Amino acid sequence: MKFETEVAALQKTPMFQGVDASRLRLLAFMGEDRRFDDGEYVVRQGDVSDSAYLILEGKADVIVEVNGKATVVATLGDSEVFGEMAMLCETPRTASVRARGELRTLMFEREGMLRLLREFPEMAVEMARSLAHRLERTTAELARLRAKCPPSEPS
Amino acid sequence: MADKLTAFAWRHSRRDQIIITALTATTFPLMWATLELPKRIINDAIDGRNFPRQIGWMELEQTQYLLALCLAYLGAVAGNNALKYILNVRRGLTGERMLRRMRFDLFRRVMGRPLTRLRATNPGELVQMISAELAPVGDFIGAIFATPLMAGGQFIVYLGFIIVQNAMIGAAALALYPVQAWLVPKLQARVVALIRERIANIRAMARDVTESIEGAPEILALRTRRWHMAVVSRRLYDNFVIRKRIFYLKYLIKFVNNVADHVTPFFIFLIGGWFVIDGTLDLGALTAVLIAYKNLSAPWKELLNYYQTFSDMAARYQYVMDQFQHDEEAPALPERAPQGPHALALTDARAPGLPAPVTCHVPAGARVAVVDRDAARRGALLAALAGIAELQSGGWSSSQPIIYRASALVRSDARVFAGSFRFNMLLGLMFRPVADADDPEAEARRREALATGAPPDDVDARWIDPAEAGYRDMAHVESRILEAVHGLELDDDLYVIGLGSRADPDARPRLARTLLDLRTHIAASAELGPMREDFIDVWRPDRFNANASLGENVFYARPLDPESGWAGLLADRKVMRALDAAGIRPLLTEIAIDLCETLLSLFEGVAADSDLLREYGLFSRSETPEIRAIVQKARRRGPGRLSRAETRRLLTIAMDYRPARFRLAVLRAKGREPALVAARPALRKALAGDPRLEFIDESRYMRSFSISENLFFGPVRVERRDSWGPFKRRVDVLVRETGLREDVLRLGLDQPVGEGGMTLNARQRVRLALGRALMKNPAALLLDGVAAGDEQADLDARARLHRALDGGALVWGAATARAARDADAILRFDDAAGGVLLQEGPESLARLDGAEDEGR
Repeated sequence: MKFETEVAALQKTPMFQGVDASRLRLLAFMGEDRRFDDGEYVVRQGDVSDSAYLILEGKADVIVEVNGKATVVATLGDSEVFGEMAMLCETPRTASVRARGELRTLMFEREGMLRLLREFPEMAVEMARSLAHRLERTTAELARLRAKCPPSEPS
Repeated sequence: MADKLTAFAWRHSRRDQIIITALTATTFPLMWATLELPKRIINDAIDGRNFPRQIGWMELEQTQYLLALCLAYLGAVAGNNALKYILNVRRGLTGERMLRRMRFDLFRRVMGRPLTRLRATNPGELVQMISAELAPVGDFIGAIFATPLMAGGQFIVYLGFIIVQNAMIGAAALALYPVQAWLVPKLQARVVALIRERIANIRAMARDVTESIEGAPEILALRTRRWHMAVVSRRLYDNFVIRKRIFYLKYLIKFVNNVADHVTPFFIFLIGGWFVIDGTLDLGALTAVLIAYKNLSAPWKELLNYYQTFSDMAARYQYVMDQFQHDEEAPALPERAPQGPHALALTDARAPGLPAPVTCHVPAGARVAVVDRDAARRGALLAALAGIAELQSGGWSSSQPIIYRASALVRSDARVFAGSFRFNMLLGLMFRPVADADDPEAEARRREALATGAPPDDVDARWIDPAEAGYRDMAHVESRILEAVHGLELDDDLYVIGLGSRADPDARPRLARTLLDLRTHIAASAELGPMREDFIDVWRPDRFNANASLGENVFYARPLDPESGWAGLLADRKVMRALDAAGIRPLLTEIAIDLCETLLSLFEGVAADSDLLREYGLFSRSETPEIRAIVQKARRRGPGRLSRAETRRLLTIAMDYRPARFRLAVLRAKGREPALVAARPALRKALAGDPRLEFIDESRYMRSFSISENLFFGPVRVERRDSWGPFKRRVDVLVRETGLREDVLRLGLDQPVGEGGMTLNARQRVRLALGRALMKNPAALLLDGVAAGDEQADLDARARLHRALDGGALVWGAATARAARDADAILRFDDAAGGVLLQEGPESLARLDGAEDEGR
């Protein structure tokens, strides 16, 4: 069958874990191959964009720029998805992502994704579940950080 | 417009109707001759005696006489039919002209409606009226007078003949006509009532269909599709019931007529036979009466038929016209605006949506904000200031007397019209034609328009007067378009549009030549060359191009007509034979079967009404059963057993397959790609000179390629599409350096924007509307919901617009005082004083700001 690598990668992501393989095959089909050379940017912080990426092979740095200072905050590897927030919410990118070494990804466009979710609502449920989990983790992280350093006086 | 169809026909086509009637009358003697001559040929020429005969100065033997009569008969038949031909054409033209008059008149009336009424007009219903309902009336009206006159005349002649033979038989022949004449109109009246009902029902259905389609997103969200379908289903049922009743009545009328027709001979036989036995009538006369009676039925039927059609058409006409009885003749558009000292001014003006009469003005060149939280009231004042509201009293004036330049109002829902980008930019200047069109048909169009009461305004005429619009000449207008596009930051958008469009190298030789030079330059450049190889899948005659379509790869060519595409080409046997000759048809069929099979399995489980397949696959959901059947047949019985049409169907689908995008691996099987590439020379040889195909050639400008395809000479690699920005920008710089950018922009201006500007996004549409407004060089530009906010971006946009207006005033509707902080003057309603409009300086903003804060 086609798209074995893509489907395998999708199955590893928490967002699509519970989703049926035939649906993932369709999802993989609707995605487009995107290859980046070392140092090429996949997305840039602040850009308005409508696509998400799944890493098929290679690594990518997540870079956040605050007050002109860029910091690598994370490195993404195989089967990781990024850009889905901006894709779903049409918000500007919150971070840049840059290829570290050659990077092969599968790109999903907002329009196609939404269509697919409309078509298979059970996929939307799985996605929502995964996003909620992530929100929960982020909230917990935030609470932990807050506890560490008390907030400064409001200006 | 006349109330009655006959009155309308007489008023507007009197002359034609008289000519048609006269022509019909001339066919009469000829018709008589075609009846009379055969009788003479038999009685006189064949059975006759006393030859030779003297005809005029000629002396004719029997055979010569026969020949002469036969030739005369031939002449009469030819003459009669030639006359009929002329008559039919004439009648058709007259009908068509009347139809055009009706249609245009209705459209004109609707366009002349005040905006409030126009908004309540249902387009679906109107289209139904103008296109379908009136069409048969046009067919009928051409002979509205001639038919009854002629049929009536014939009827009277035949009847007279019968009465002359015997008055009693005449009375018998006539006996049943009064019954018909009494009963038929009664039945017909009911048919007419039903026809009205049917028209109303169909019109309602048109309304329902329009509403359902316009409300489709809502219907989807509410999940009420079945209800809306049931509504239309009921309309169709009602239509059926009405039609059923019409059929009953219509064929009852026919029944009555037929019975009456056939009962009359009964009387003629009975009474006539009685007289013959009695000896008061001879047999020959009775036969003649019977023949005359037989002839009588033709015009009578025609009369009845005419009567039926007439009442049908008159009902249609009446019913359509009823919808327009409240429309008065639209007032002529004023050419000049009342002139005043200020850019725009209202004096004691009462307009819809305004609480009290307003007096205010927009000083020349000023920036004026209408500050009001009520968006509707704001909009009403802006419309009144723009001079497009219907003032109930009071006056409006502008410093600019040329009416179309007095004001320009841009609303957030600005409509872009079908046509090119340039056309839309110029639309505001196209007030009226200023010079006649000069093509050979212009005069004919003008004549025809005048003959049907339409204005002779011709879309092919020149509609722009550059001097009046504030320009030196048309070249100045053109350069101003680009200036406005630049000022509105639309040039990059337009550049992209231009890059994506095709140019005719004969019309733009410089563009084609420079593009070709650039192509070579990029390929040879030490820096850009490798970049091109990285991002572009460059065309090579000996290599498969995975980023291009299968069709392009097979033929190493592109169809010149994108409309007919590969489907049109494959429909031609010559092309299929070429595939055979190149020996790749079986291989292609195999690939197509694999491809369709894969797509079918991928989209299994997708809902039947989904457009996912059409968007992402190569055929739509509704086509799947057919394609599945073909694939199954091929798998079961072998691809060789597919019919020609089936093979073509599969191949057409496969031609659009792009391996890099679809990644279905159907070409990866051993040797498939090389076999296709190897067949290219043979195909090229077989199809050389085919005008539908353009073979890919690196040394030539390709007509079938877009500008950017010509530049890069290959499709952008799908997998590099997110990274090729830097390369593209480098090339853009080159394009600018060679002076090509402006040509590309101009090409972009030529591209159609689609109905309602659907190829543009919302931002582009609004900016196009702003550009269109700026092109007018208006005394004042008014913004309603566009660039009217309090953010810095809107303030910047207003500053830019004000500069671009070059002495023109800028007025905008501001929801808050903050959104008016760049204004020189403020217009606001004093609600405490009953909605009186106040005109104040910017110093009042501080007070307003305070009031707003208190309100929070």
